Amino acid sequence: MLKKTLRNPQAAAGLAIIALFLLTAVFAPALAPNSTDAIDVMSKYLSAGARFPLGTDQLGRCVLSRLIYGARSSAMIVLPSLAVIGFCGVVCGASAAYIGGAAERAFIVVCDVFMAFPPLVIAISLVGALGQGMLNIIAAVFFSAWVWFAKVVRTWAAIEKGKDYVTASKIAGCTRAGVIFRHIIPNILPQCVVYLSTGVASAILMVSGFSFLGLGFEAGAAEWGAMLNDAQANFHTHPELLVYPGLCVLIAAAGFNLFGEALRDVVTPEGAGQ
Amino acid sequence: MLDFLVFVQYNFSGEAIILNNNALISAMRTAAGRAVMLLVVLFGVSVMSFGLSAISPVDPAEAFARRTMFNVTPEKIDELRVQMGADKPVHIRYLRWLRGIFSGDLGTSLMTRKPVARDIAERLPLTLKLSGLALLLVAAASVPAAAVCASRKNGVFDHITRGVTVIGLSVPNFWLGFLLLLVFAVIFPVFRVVETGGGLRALILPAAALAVPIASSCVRVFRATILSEMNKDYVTYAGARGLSPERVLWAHVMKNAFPPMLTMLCQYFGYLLAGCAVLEKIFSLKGLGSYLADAVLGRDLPAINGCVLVVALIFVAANTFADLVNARLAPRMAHTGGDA
Repeated sequence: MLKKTLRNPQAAAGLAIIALFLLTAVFAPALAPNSTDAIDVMSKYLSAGARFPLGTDQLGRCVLSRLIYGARSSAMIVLPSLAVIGFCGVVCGASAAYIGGAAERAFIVVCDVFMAFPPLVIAISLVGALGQGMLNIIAAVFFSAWVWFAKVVRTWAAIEKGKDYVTASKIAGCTRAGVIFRHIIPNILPQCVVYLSTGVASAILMVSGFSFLGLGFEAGAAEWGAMLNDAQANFHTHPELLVYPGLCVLIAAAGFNLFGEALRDVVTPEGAGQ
Repeated sequence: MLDFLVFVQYNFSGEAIILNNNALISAMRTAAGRAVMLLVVLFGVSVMSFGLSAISPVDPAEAFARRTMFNVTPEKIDELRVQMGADKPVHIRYLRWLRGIFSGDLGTSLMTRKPVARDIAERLPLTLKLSGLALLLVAAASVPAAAVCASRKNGVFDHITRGVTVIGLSVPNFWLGFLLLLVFAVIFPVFRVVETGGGLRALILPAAALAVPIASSCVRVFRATILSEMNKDYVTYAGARGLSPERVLWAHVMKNAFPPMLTMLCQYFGYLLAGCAVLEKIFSLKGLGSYLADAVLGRDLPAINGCVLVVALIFVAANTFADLVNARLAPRMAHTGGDA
């Protein structure tokens, strides 16, 4: 399946963008030509040049360096959030479906309550309530999104539960946890990866959205949404400052979306259900 | 007999995920069961609307005082705390708030110093208009595009649309709003940056920015819906009767694909509503979204609670409405609404 995925040009393009995003995030200190917060009012709004490849912003900070560190800010929020969402979603969703009964009903009620709120609204309110800081942002992203994933997992797991191999493993004497973790979860994992990949894209968009409002990150943080927030005041005179960070968000999100969708085509080919 | 359905769930950005048809197990619910469920959800919604801001480790009175007053003294903060009712334990505050809801009292906003309910009533119509217009744009763009994509599957238009929708799904809508402003208000001044005088004119650009990501998602789902419909026997039969492919598509397939599409559009209304929070800020619109954003920034707890509650209620109402429409238009699908 890995080979099949890699042969798909769309998946390859997506993976290339993801790799670029991750490498930029990891090697940001080495890649950034300048400091991200060296304020120099004498050199504000410089156009692109040798020293500042993409020019400088309203405080004379290097735009390229800030964009590079923006990838890092984004990755450091989004990847841990999705890891936690993935773990909790898979465990809760699969367990609820397999155990069934009152536990499953309670799970569905919790899901329905959370799903009564648009995720962005939960995220904005929570970030506002919890305040700045990495852990708080991760918590906000997690709480806004985890049930959406957990509920899909439950549906997938419920389908698996009815299949013969589950009955077979039960007859063979597998414990409950054994069936859930050794049999059901491995079988739904491909769909989960697809979901989480597009979920990363959604989370990148969401984080840039609330940091654009000035929530979550401290003022002046090298983060794409925060940079857009800084740039909007000088929207008429320096629109380019607004274009770059948005483009970065777009490209990063597109990478994860492209990969996720190509993977989806591999995992569930069109017409497979018919 | 259920194999004509495409089963859809959403991920948290509102992008739809299409599952196999055999996902349609269980989920059978009676009307009474659904009503009870709705009540339970509404109760949960009230707890969460209140709890989202109540878990804050920051003292709301102090935070608010520091944001809005000069010369903050501990006495002033204490006074403010009593005024906000923040000196009481959390469950008392919740019950008090809940009692207020039933008499239409959501407390007093700390920002505007007016009743939250009145502020919301003042600002909600604009947001509803904006989301409604965006929803119309979504429907107008995605239904025909999906039909053409499905009828010429893997054709040029299909491929181009696929590419465009990936970009549409990945673009931050607020950034798109800026780009639209840049192009249509600065470079080609068709609109003014801040449209005054209300009216539809002020809403066109923000509605377009709001619509693009949702429309991208819709095109994909609708395309799959139509395609699965086209695999049915009646389509083969209609073709065998000598009807032209166009006629089959528009007169038969679209008619049958319509109920699930309408349901989905209703459900997307909530996402459009949430998107307003950021977009209204950019277009300087005084709607519920910018009110919520300002309330969160200013730690105006009564206003946050009220907004979140209202948005959730509209979201729940839109979903319930979608279920009802669904049950009416396609009775065979009624049993599956609960899980989608």
